[in-house]
Amino acid sequence: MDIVAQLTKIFREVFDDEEINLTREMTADEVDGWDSLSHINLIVTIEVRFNIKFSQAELPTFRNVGDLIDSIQRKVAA
Amino acid sequence: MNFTSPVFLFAFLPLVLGIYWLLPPRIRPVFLLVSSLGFYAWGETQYLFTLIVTIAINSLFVATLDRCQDPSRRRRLLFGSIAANLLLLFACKYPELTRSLADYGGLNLTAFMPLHLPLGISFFTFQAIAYTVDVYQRKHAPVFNPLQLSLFLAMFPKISAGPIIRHDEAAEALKTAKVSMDDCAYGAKRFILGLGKKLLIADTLALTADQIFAIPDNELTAPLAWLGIVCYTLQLYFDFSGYSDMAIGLGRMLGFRFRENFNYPYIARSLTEFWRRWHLSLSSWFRDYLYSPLLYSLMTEKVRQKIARGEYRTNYRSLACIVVVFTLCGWWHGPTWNFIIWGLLHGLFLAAESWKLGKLLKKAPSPISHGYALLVITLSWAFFRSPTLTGALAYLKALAGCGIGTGLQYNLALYLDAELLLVLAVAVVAAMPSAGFLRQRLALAWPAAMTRWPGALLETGAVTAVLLLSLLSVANSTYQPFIYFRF
Repeated sequence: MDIVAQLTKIFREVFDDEEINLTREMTADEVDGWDSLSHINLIVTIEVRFNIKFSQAELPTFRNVGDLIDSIQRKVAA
Repeated sequence: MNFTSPVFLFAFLPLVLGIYWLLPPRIRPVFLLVSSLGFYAWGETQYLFTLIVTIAINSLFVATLDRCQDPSRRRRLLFGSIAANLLLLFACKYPELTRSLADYGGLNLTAFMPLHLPLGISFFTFQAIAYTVDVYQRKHAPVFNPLQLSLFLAMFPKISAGPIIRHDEAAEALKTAKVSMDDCAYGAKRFILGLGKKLLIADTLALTADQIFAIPDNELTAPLAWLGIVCYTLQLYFDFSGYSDMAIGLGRMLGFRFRENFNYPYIARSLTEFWRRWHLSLSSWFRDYLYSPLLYSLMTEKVRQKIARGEYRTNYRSLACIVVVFTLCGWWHGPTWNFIIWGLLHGLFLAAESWKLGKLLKKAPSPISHGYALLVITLSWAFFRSPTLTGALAYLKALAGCGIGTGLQYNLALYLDAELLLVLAVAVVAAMPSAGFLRQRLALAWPAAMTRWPGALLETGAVTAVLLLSLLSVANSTYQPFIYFRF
């Protein structure tokens, strides 16, 4: 499964919404329930499933799903 | 110095702007720092020391931290720097307590204790902490130029009450200090609108709010209490967003782009949305430098595995963190139960929204969600405004219609005159994005006119009217300091 498909699955699970279809431009405002409280579950699930780790400093730099995908791609490749 | 005082408006500002624009860009930062220190020292000379100590502590810690390679020593330096900043803030916020603690330890600090809170101390302390943490996390390099660091912390447009800016946003402007004609025009417009918000709306509503909140508890009636709380709700927004407009406008006229602080908070449909629109530079500071680090430190391996397996859908630790962070945010406003309860209430509602309430609100018709948000926000301001806990509770009782006032001595007719009604109406319209809406409508109706000079003329006319009315009110009114200068 490629990263986007895996990430879509994670988003659907975390935000409990089977309708979510990720696009690179998607932001937190467009996903119901994606706030700074639920953000932690998203980040931790991504970290565990992809076996990667985000640094505290880079978390606020994700402006949209595209930034998140790029960061995962870089970390998985490294 | 206050932005609405005649000495600022008619002497300091024109003089500083005029000289700043005439100077070559490389000299401008030096001049801006000197004027900022002058601005700060005006009437508060003895507190200049606190500002200089903050600048010195932070530049020392950050320079050492940057040179250090050992991770555990870097960590100790980070915590040392945060502790030093918070200690200074604590000592200034609680001078009596600090003096007795120092006496207990055999230190006599009487000569150093401030008589009142040094202007803007919370704001430049928070900014300094953000800067140190960002350098620690290697988000950006430290500022080696002491002039730039001092200017970043002490710049006069935002030193009194923010916006709390981050270094990477101002780095470029701190070096070049370039100003375009567009910047000047936009900055001046923002400054005038802020001046109008403060002098014409907030200060008028303040008179009624102050009078009603001063009525003895046993004389309050429901209509009076509602008028008082509505006036205060609007006053607080126009006071603080007016200040922020002035700060952002001043910054722009000097070549700096500060982050926005308000985005029509009262049109929110939940408390979560409200905090994405209210005092943004503070709420994002609390999120990035308190809430997130606290929450991530609570994510043990066991919890992480549970989350990844989908067995910890409601993250109770994040709910607890938001309550703790907002209670602390309330406490920061002042050492009273009222501020703590205000923060706690907001934290609890935010947690409830993240848990289940938020989904219900999304499904609810918009009048219900707007009504819910406005009610919670307005009622919680009763704690924020009342000086005592018993006062706040009596006020809430009166709002609920259970007040014991007879209405004979104090009644609505005493306060509700034509001037107040007019200002209330303007305030309600201006608290919503009405200008943008109107501009859009006009552009649709008369596309040719609105893109050419009549549109610009309309806007210039409106801004000029606000300026003239504000200047008239500066001449007539008594001095009313900005609410957030006390925090």
